[in-house]
Amino acid sequence: MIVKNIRHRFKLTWQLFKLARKYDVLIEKAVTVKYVDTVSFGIHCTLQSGTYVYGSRSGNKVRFGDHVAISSGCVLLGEGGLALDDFTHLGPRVVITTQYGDSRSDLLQPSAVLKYAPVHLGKGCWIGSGSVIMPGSTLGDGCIVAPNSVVFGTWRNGTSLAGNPARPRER
Amino acid sequence: MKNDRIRTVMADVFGIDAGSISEDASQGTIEQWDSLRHMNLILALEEEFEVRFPEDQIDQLASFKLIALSLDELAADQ
Repeated sequence: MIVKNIRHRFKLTWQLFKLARKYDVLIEKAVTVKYVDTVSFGIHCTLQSGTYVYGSRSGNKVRFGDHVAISSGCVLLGEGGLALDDFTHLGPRVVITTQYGDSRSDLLQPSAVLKYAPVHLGKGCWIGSGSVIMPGSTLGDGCIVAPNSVVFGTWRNGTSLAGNPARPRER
Repeated sequence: MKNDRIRTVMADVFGIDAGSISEDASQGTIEQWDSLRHMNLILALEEEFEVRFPEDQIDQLASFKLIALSLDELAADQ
């Protein structure tokens, strides 16, 4: 078991090295990126400390545009496909998930039955700390999400969202 | 007219043909109508009809008829 853990950690470190060598991305300490072959970065991206990025085993793309900043403690689960366009910033502890449990399945089994839906954040989106972006969500360019919001659905350019479920602030 | 608009929103959210959605449709009859897409549906209906469903009603709007009824009530309140 010890050897298995050491081997696993070495593999994760090697994958970070591969990413840093291939892309213009600043990777701070305690960052984990899995399935790096499906993950790509534009120029001048940052993954702050403690960020966890799960690529896709099924070959869907996890794509970061240019100047994308991921603050500390974010969790990005990209199995269903994830795109963060240029200049998008995630605050601390934001969770973006492209997978969710199938509540109609038998819950008493070793592997959960999951469903997948892609997430796309447009250019220049700001996501407040602690927010959760649910599977299938699409934000247009320049959207702002208040801290601790839970985002579902599709929103046009420039929408400001807040709450759970997150709704446009002007209403 | 209102029912056609509901049908169009449901078809878009569930990714199915609007013609296949009857007025008896419910979470039990539409396979794609899971808990996640239910939230997407509620928010898309709020955008389409420019209303806001009461928080305590959201989970209960699990059929076409209940949605139509709730939209009627919200329209009457406005």
